[in-house]
Amino acid sequence: MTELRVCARCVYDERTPGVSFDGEGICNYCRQVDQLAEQYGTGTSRGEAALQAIIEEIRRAGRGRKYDCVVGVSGGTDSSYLLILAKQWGLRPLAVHYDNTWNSAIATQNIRKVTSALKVDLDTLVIDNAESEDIYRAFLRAGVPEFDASTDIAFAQTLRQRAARHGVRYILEGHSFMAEGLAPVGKNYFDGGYVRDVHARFGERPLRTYPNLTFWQFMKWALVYRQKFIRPLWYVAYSKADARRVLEAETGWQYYGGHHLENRATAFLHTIYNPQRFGLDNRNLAIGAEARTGQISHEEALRRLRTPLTPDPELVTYVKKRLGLSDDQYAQLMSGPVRTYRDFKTYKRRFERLRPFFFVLAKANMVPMSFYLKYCFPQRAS
Amino acid sequence: MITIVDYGMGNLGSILNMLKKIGATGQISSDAAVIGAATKLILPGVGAFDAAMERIQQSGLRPVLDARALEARVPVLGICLGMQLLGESSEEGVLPGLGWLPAKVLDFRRRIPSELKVPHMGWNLVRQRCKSHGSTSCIPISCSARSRLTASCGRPTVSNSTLAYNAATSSACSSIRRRAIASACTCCPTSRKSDVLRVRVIPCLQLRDGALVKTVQFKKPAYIGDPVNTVRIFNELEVDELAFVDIEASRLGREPNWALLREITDECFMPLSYGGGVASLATAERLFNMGFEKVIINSATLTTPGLIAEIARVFGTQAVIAAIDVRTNWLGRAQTASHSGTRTGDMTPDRWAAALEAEGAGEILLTSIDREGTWRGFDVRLTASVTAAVRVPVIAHGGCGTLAHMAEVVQQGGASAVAVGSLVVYQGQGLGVLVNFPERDELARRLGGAA
Repeated sequence: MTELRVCARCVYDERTPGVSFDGEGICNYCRQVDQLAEQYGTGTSRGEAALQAIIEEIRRAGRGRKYDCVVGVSGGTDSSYLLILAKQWGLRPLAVHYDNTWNSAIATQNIRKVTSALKVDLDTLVIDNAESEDIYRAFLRAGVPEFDASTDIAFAQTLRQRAARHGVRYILEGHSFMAEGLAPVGKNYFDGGYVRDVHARFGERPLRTYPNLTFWQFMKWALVYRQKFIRPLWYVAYSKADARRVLEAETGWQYYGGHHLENRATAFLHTIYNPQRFGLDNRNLAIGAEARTGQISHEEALRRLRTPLTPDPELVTYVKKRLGLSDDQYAQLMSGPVRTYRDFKTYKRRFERLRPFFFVLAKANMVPMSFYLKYCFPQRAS
Repeated sequence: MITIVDYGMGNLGSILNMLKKIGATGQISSDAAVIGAATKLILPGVGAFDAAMERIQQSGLRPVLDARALEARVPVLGICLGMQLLGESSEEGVLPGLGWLPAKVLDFRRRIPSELKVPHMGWNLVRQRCKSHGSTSCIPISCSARSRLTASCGRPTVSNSTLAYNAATSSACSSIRRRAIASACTCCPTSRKSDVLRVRVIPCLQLRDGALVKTVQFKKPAYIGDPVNTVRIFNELEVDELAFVDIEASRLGREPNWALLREITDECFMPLSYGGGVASLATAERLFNMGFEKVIINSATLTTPGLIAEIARVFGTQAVIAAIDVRTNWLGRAQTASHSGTRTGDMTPDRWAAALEAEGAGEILLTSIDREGTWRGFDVRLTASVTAAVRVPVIAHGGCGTLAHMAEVVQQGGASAVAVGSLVVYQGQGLGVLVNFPERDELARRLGGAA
């Protein structure tokens, strides 16, 4: 048996889609992060200065308004900490939450603790529970790995919609490529067109309240509303562990024990659905990022990856109940044929054709840079 | 395997849930063969002593129960009325009990002068007065450390508190002991003034078409989220009690949404009450069997006179909450209303409350339609007028926006409990949906009683 080649820095191996290794044995994803860090001056005075200029711009644009920016919150580490930073920078944020009706108590409690400690107002969009369940069922029936794509898409749309409603042009989001890396586009891809097509083919009821980010919505927010999408953690030094300590001390925020586990749908995706149905272990993103940034050793990272996932057995019962699936139906959906996003209508081709246009928008912070890097390039065969 | 005896009167579902929560496996059975093979028994019971004894006799289970308890000496846990049945007799009935314990169940209200309102529901701390019984044959269940109540088990009388018979080594009992729900046991309060019952804060959640909503003055229902997930969140926040009200069932003449209620009771670990479309004894019975502790009745008090009395006779007054919705008319007079506020009654709220108490209501849920969903505070005058007219606990509802509002309606309005809606489903007035519950110590500071 030949050993799988593993990146000398992070833990991505040959099975990672689109991976390649250079002379030093370091993978292209590590190099991409290095490039981004260089480009954004992450954690250096140059990065700080660039961010300060943006903050100044946000403050100026927000004069005379109740809020000058919206911050997307989930109750998780990054978004909660971003709210603390936003207040420290003298911003007047409105917290916006997309509730897919699968929140754990710890997530809602965290949102409450953080927003009340910081005296930040919250606006929430709660999707109709029956619609939410219909979309999740559709993704299970479709046999695609992106079980929770509808939440990520709706979250983006909700942020932009609420920003528009409150007359705010700046959207802050808690993503950090240092702490999480950029997810390799491989078997996983999603956009608003994909959610729509999966649901059209496998859903049962019309979507009335689901806030989908369609291509034209996306264009409208960028070009007509001229919204700017800022990821402050791309500029400053950031460690999740430190962020947690600050959050716990200042707001009573609580850790929920793992990346994405604050929501039951994502917990199901990461601990049960992807590993059991597709053999995918999504932990490599966060663990790889920790090894890449030197917070844990390479050996420790590999050791952690080898520890088996410990799914909460009760979670399967909950999923079956929420989606109205019998044991047999669930078992069938967990086997059956597997599909990928390529079997559905997506915007991927269109994004690729419009790559130069999106490059300009990404440079102007009108669409996220990670969107440009991930969505506008054809996927390398793997 | 712990077997919960189904003789037709008990909150079977909620007991099974509690076992699940503490990690024990249990089954519900009315089959003599299954009960005959049981290694541990739980005898539940909600309601009236005589009705329960009658049902046990009719069920044909009496011989097998006696054999298990007295000959095989399997651990038996009697909960609430199920505990009373263990004795020789009860002052709440005329029929003899099972007689497994040489004890008579006495009504403490006739003996201890007390201002305390009964039935009392909620989390309490009970102290064991008599050691000798604790280690051998009976253990008073101590409830989760909350406010101060004292349970006594001095021979030959057994106060109306939950006892476990021959159960000192039963793991089920000791587990339940760590985390018993006080609704499962009514206790004997002391007469000392310093003993303060904790004020219950009850999220009152509105259902419509299988979704959770929140109205303002009984109008404009706003979508809040999924009921089952919200219940899970309240579970984890360890709220005292939850009330679910279907805001359309009565007006549209519908039955309760059984499928949804089943899912809710499956998830729920705290005492639950339900209102909306409870128009017959059979409906109430089905709700109790499912795991609801109490039914809330408003509209049916008008359309089905005698329903409250009927349910109270079979299931006990503690199982019936009479809801009174009150609206101020254009003359400034308080008027009672029903059918989601669409019909008006002709009695004043206090007289109506007294009439419902006389009929058998164990609690009054008093809602001010004018204040509901407004965050402006409870109608303290209205509450005071009703608490003065009845002896049963009154749950004030409608308008709660702050903890100070709660303190006000308890201290000045005499409310025994408060029901809250907007406060626990929104971050603040006019702000986003956020399921939450006030911090325990903050509540204790404002409302008194141990946290």
